[in-house]
Amino acid sequence: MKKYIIILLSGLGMLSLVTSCKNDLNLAPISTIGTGNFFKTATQFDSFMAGIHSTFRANTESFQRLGEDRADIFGTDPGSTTAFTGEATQGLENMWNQTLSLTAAEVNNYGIPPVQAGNNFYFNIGQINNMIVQLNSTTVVVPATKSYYLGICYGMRAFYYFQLYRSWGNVPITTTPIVVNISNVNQAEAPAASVMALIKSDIDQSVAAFAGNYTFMNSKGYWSLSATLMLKADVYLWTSSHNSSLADATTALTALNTIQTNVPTLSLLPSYSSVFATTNRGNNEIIFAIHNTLNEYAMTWVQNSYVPQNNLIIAFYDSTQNRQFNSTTDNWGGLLRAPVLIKTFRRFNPLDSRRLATIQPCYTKNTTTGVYTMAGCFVDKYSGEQNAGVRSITNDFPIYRYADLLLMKATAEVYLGQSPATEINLVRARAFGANYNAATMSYPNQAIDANPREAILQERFFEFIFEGKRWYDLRSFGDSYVYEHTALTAANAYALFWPIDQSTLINDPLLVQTPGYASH
Amino acid sequence: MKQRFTYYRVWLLAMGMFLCSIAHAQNIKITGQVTASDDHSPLPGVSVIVKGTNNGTQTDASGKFSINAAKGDVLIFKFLGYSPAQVKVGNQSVVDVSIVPENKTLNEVLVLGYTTQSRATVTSAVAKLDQQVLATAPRANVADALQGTVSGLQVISQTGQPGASPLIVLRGGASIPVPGGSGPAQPLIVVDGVVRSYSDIVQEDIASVDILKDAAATAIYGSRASNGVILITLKKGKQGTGEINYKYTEGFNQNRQGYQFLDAEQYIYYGRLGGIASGRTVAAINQSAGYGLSTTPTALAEYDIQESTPANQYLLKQGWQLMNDPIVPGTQIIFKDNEKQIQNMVFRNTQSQDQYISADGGNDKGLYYASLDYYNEPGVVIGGNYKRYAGSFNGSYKVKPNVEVFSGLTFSDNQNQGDAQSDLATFYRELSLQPTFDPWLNAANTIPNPGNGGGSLDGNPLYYIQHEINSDEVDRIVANAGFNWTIIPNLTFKLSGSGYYYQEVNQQFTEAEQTIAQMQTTPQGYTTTRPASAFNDRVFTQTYDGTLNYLKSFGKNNFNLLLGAEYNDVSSLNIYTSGTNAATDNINTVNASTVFAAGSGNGSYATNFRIISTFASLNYDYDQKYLFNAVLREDGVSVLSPQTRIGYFPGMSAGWNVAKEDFFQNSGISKILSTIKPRISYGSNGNISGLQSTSSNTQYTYQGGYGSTSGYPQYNGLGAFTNTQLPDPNLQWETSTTKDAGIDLGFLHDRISLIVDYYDKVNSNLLTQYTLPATAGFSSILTNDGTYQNKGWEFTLKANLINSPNGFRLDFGANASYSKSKVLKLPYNGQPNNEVGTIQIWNPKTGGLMTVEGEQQGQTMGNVYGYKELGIFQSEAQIAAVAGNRNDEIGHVTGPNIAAGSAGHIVPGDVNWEDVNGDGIIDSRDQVYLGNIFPDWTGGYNFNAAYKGFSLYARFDFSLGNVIYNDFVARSLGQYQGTFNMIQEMTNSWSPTNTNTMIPRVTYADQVSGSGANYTRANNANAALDGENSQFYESGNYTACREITLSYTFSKALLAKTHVFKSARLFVSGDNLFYIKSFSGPDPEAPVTAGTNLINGIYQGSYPTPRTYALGVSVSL
Repeated sequence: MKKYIIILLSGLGMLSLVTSCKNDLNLAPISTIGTGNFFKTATQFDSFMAGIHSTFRANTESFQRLGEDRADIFGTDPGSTTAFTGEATQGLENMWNQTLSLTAAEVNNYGIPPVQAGNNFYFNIGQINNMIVQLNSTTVVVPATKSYYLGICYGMRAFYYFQLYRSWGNVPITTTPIVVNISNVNQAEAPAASVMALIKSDIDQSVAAFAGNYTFMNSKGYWSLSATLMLKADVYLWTSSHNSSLADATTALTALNTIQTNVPTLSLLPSYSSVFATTNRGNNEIIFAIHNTLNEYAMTWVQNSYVPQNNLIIAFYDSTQNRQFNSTTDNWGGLLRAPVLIKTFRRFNPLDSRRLATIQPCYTKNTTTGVYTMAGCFVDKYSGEQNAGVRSITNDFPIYRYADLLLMKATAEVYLGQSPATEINLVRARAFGANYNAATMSYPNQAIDANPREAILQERFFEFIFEGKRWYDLRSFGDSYVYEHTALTAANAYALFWPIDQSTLINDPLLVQTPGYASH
Repeated sequence: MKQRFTYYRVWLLAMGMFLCSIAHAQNIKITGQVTASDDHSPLPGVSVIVKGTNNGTQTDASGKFSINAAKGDVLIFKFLGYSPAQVKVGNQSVVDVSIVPENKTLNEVLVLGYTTQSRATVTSAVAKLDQQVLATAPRANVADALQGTVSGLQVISQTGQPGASPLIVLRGGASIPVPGGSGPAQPLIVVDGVVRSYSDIVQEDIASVDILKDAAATAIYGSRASNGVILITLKKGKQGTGEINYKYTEGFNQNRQGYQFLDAEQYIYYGRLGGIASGRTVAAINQSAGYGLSTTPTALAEYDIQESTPANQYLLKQGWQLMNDPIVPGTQIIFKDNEKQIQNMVFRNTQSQDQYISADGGNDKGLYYASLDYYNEPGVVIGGNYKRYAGSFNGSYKVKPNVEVFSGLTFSDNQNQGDAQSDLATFYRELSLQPTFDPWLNAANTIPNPGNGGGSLDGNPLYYIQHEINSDEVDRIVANAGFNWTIIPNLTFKLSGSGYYYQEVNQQFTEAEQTIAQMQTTPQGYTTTRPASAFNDRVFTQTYDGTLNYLKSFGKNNFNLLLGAEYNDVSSLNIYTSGTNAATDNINTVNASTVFAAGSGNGSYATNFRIISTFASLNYDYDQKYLFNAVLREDGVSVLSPQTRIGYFPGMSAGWNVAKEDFFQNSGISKILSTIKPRISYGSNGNISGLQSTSSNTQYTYQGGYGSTSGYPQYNGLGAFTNTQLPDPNLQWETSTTKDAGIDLGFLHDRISLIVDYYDKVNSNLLTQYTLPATAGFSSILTNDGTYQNKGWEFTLKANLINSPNGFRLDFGANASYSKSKVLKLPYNGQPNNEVGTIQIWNPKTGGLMTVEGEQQGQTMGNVYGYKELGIFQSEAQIAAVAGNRNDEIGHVTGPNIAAGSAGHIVPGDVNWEDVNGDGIIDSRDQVYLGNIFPDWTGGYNFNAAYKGFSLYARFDFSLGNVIYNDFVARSLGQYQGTFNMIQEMTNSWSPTNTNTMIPRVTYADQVSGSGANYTRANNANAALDGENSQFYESGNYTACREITLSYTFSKALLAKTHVFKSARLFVSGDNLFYIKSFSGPDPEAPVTAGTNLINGIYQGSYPTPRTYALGVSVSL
């Protein structure tokens, strides 16, 4: 009998050994914070707000592509399918050639450039939606901060939807935090009108939340009330132009005047190039800029497409300085897939300081005759910093600045039949500096000034190259301006909008392709 | 959860009661002698065990033994190289046994996890590695020995880098192989009870390798076993006189010949011609690297090519040559051919060395085994080197008659330099360097030329090897200890604990570097970022397990019951730092750096993972005729939510030893058919390896997470957090359910044995990355919504063909596996068949569209579709006739009757694509089926001939049924990089004078608009499997000669005279000797995405396994 007991006891002993430690299976993440434990302290809210801006920053390349690359700035010069350095355009030509398609959308998944890993716009919209819900239910954030943060959230969300609205027209709307229910995860587009209604309501909510707090945070690297008002002007000018609504133009003008009244420190810097200098971040001209810093974040996308390889550029010359490029000074470290058209460079008045501050012309030199011939150009507005022999593109990327305020104001004035002279001339005077001759250069003394809309468009063209504006400007002024200035023809009006790329369409069967593009 | 435990406890309690009801018998002392059946010599060191217990002993020097056993017990006699024998104890007290040298597969002892068992009574699918495979060929990674040697396992050598692990897939893998994802988890590797990697295990230390395949066998390992279990048993000491063994192997490694490239003259010719063909200007061509005629100081320093002028004719005396410029008549080009230089620098012949010494011995109380090993293998590509020091000790001692303690320790330290760059970089880009590139800066060829700064890819690799200093060291220490306590006879309790400590220390530093262009400036430019990094990755695994084993027989009914429990904890800590801008090259560690960026480069990261388990198994046989086995395991894991974390994994199997039946033995058939054992099994097990990685992102999925914004945790200096992972509390176990039917057959007294298995394995609840729509923001979420089925056949044949009385013996062995997989279920997404990533092509049979590629329910994975090349257009007339109205939307070229596409018109030399739907448009719908990337038949075969002391062993493996997309050839011929060298096949490209070819006309950078996309159709920066030119899909069928060994074993008589040696053996072997293949590249093995275990079917240039010739000697004292 003793043996049976031994056997029984050993069996039971084995069991008790195990069951007693089952609670040991409750392990929490060590190096991240579980969903249930976040949004418990004010500093967690602060870091999440920084995260929203950090994620916003990672969308910079998409803002540039959507806002500008299809316009009349970039391209390979006639007679070549490659950049003047020989680099292949690798699909980017679909933007300026207006040959976007299902399989070559060049901005995929509502906000990701092909070949680049990253998050689309809806990722950050989801983060913002989450933040709004959490802010509205928390007690750990002081009321002033809470309302400022809500102001940012609504303002930035409106900015994202305005990007989507201008690029795709009808887009899905999400305003609640991401909760994935796999059986019901797909979402159809909302009509463009609803998107616009959301944008305007978000702007109003943002303005209300800021409650007149015009302070800037983080050297203007955070969204602010002024940014919301700039966005408001941008949006209302669009609807004013598209709906011939004088009221909307007035709303835009009022928003801009409000900024001028409440933020008297805003002004144009005397030197155009110093606006973008890495040593001059958050300057008086900046209203909101995406913040980059050496060893924190650099715009590597600039090097991926817009500036040349070191060993290719050294074959060329800079005639203005009468020197050959070399790999120490001109170490752009890039791949020039999107060169600037020579004609873009030549549109500038040589006395305009914005010309060389924006574009680097490159020449070949006949070694026997010494004659320079223009070979091509590239953008050098963001020239970054030298770091141990390597160039890092760390300039801030302006979203809104005072020159934009002035020129939007000029636009509103033109829409309302008022004179835009004051604002345009401030911009021109700064651009020409000592060369400014009011008699010939001021509005309305240039030939183009006979058509005030073209005058403003051209001024914005000179002022904002590489700030993600030109294509949107043409679109805002009206479709005819797009056909006039770009390769897109009225016959292909459908291509004013962007196609939805193949995999995005497949991943959401409720999505309908932008009309006019193939959907499979 | 609590409640489910209670049920289980009741079940176990009942089992305990059952144990109690079993009566117990009295022990008697048995003595006897063991001899060899062939020469009747007494055999020392034979282990004698009472079956099902740990009660055992060993024979002494004269083959004699003595052991306590009860009437009815079964004594098992085991000796390496001999078939084990079993004798049932009756009334006799003397048991003399003659054991048979092993030539029988059907009686081999199989290690089954927590127990061992003879194949004669095993009823599930288990394979055993033939020890012969481990005997000679030196191996940096022992897993290579599994290639083609075990049925049901597909083993693919991914790279020839020494020490690298192969890809191992059991029975088609237990997860859906989604392109771009990761492949099936590797089988669970258990080494003497410790779950670890097979890397750095010394093959000479291994006593046996057993592979558990069906769920009835693997269920005992529960949640980690759905990809199979590989059990490695290390050698133990033997009772009797002590022995010292020494083995020395020297290997001579050779690179396998790859593609041949154009020489400089051919390269200049085709490069310049291609530019013209793609509409480039002569000026643009002359700006191009390599074949251009740029006169910048940099270009002159970098490339040995110039326009011929009177001033540079002196170069002809320095080995330069002259040629006519093919694109500018009347001009000549002067150049130097440096084509072979880079190849000769990258590849080398190396020598590897393996030294192994061991000592073992023991008496009736204690046993020990100790060994030391040194292995060194420099890679045949410069830079790589695998060096390993390893040692092991294990021992046991009977502290009391019924208590045996045991402990063991193994350590290994490997220093694996790895290659300077990825295989792709070496085998595609570096070998494609312009043949006019001058790899040296000085005439004496001692100072390497760094090239133009495309990193180490575009210059002399020696420059980068000199300036980029890196090291990687992995230490593995396994310690275990425990005891066996025979509480009462036939009831044994075993408790053991083990710790497995893994540490990887990696350091990298890049000195100040220059490009050739920076060298041309005054003053010279330097890149002085001097990135330095180091990490220390520590993983500590603790395992504690206890088992209770009870053995009982009633008459002819034999029971073996096992109860067990296990606690497993894995904690990892990764500490990493990286800095830049050190002031000097002279300090290689990170402390000299001055800038430490926040983000992925600096930090530490910790995870923790736990499994707590209980299990039970029951083995029953009636007179060894009717066999039954049942297993149940319960696992609880920390990575699932409390609602779902407990899983139950049952398995059962049954078999019938027909040949043991009287009616069978009495029939005449038994003279021919000596063994016949049909068996069936059913079981399920789980898998959570997808959640088990040391990355926190997957480990804590069910809880979701907030963490540092990916890669850039700062915004304007502020800490930035985002929601990095959506919570999913519904995640569950992946489960695999396997039905297996098999038969073990023996013919002619088992001289020929055949084991056949058929399986049907359904892997359900698979962790699947469900692709989310754009609006979710997150690209995908893990769900349990996939079901994947594998079905297949496995055959293992072993035959003794000749066993002549004069001592000549010839054996043949072969195995083959066929597997076919299908997706049964995917997450619901509203699409037909829940398809993901599919496209539609024209189906000529139905005259409609069909959905292919991607994943869809009911579909086999890995099918490949592309554009069929019918031929090359020879003339404008042919184009007008065949494709006058064609619009090739892929190449953006059109026929002459319609407006030119953005890349112009189709011209002679372009490909005539098959217009499958005949609509005049070549678009994605015109793709055709071109094969499947997964092999369906794999296996191997071997011959062993022996005469007196000589033996000759040859081993082959094969793989059949897959296609490989040869991206390497397509990119090279398509001049993907624009200016890089092309392979020799370019000389067969179409031209007005070379028309009988399938290779299109030469173009510049084929993927660039204007070139017509003749070579790479799905042209994008990343190689694509589908949608390419059908010409570049090649068959992956091959058979490889893995080993031919000739060895000589000195006769015992001769050795006896030395009074020193007990045995001695000399051998010479050739390993990985050759492939018989149709694939055009050097290495036909199915291409695998590095680090993912996923067969991707895209050959981009890989590091083939080197050919090795080895010489070795092994002696024992």
